[in-house]
Amino acid sequence: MMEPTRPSASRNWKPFTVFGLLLILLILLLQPSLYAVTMVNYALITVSLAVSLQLIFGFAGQVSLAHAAFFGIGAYVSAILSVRYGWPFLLALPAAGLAASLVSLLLAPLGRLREHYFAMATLAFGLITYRFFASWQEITGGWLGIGNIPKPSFFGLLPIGSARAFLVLLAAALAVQYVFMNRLTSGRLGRNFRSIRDDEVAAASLGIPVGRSKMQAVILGCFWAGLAGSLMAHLNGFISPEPFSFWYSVLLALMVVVGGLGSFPGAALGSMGLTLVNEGLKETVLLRPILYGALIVILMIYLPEGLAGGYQRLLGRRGRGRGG
Amino acid sequence: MLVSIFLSALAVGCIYSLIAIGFSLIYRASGILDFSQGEMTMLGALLGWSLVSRASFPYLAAMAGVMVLVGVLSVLKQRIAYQPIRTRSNSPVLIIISSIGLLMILNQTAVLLWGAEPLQYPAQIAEGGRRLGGVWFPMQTLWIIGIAAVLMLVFHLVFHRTQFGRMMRAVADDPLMSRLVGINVNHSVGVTFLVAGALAAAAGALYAPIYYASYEIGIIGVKGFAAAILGGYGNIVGAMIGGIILGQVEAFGSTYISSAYRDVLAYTLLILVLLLRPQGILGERRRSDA
Repeated sequence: MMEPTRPSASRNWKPFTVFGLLLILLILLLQPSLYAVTMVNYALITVSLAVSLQLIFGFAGQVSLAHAAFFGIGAYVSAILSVRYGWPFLLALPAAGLAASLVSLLLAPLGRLREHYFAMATLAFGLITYRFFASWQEITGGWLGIGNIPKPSFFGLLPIGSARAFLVLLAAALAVQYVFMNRLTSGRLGRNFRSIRDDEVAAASLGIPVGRSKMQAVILGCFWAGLAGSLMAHLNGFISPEPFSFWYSVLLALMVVVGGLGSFPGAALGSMGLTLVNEGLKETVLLRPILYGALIVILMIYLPEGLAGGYQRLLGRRGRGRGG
Repeated sequence: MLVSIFLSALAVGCIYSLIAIGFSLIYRASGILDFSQGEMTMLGALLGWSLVSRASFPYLAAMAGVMVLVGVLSVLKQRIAYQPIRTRSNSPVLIIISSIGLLMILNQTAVLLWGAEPLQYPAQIAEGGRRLGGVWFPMQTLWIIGIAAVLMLVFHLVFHRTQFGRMMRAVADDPLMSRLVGINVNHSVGVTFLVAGALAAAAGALYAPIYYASYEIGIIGVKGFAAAILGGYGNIVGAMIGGIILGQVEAFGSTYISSAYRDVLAYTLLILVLLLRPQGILGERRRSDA
């Protein structure tokens, strides 16, 4: 009974959501704390990463433990191109995305294999990339990293110098990405993804190219991770290997899992929530991984569909209660 | 020179083999990929350090001790974190993520208990060595190879010659059919985790004296998995051979290509095998329902 009404109800909510988000953006721009703006800037990049990981995770059904590596590839490519070769931001940004997706071509064929293989291969890949970031001194600067990354500007006209200007840029980039992901997964490709997720054998028997769809999800997800890396490099002005480690990949995976597999709003909320929790648990750094690990295990046992799924189940239960 | 590289690589390869057997055993018995398997090795190394240097156990007794302790922990791990998911949905993705959660918990617990500094074993497993035909044979390396060989032999005999082993193999080959003929499948999966945990812990206790013990060495699990894939995932003999090959590739590769990228060799080999020959050298043994 609830089923047919839900889509239209959510459509009615859309203008309100957009309006609400714009209002929050405006408040953030007008309020005085620079710390809050900076925090939100980093949070937006995290949200972007969680949303692109969701494409691989929730739609291709593959556990990627290399998302931080592709984030890093984007960051390094963008930094090297703009610092050493003087590329403008508008060229370095797409180059970062393309580089990440080109490298992901190496791993994409593994997307066709079973989950075990892909998960472990991406873990190994993440370890390899991290080693290269740290050890390939001539190119990446090793542990010292790369500094003096210029702030982005659009044809020299619109310099993004301040944290507030960056906030607008990041929010716009995230909005574009969000619309892209939504379009992608509501079209034919999205239908393919959903049918593969629900029953791979049945999907294959209907002529859906299972392997190719999964590979596409992996490549596109990595493309957006590369873009996020470029934005991070220019926001920070400095990059070093630390943020691109295996543990950050795991943290991103946790965000997607908490939010709910297959839900973009879930991934966005999960990553924002976890960024806040991360900030809140700053004092207890030593206990943080244990808490997160326990959270993962408990979620996988009791709420594998994440908060988004739990919310829908709650709605469904209430609807049924009302109907009966 | 060549012989001594070969020998020390054989010792490290045997250690990889022990971890790889655990991966393949668990995969065949339950279809699970357990990311926290490397942490069992890490705990074996650290617990072994505590037993040897704090409780002054003799080395072999410490090794037996860590095998029991970590084996039991491995059973508990399965009970708490995997069994509920297996009975509810049996989704491989959920179990993989859950095992990553366990990895985080175990890794950080080790930091809290043992600190972040690498710990040196107070003594070598065995001192000195023999010179034979111009080649130096360090006793420690020979002991590691010997202990690992004995462990693998005992495991092989238990797996193939006893009622217990027959039960484990039956469940690995066909869980549904095993259930029909009255085998307690959950019990058998538990035993599998016990054995896998014990072998991984032994690997840790063998590895640490030649390097060091630290919360970081759990990453060796990736190499153990690479060995399992190389030999053919789920194939026990393949796991042993895969570990030994990986040890040689790593040692000769880091000698002749680059020692800075030593770990990268094993990881690259893993990805290459998966890309080119995912069934490994000896072929994959899959569960009939997987």
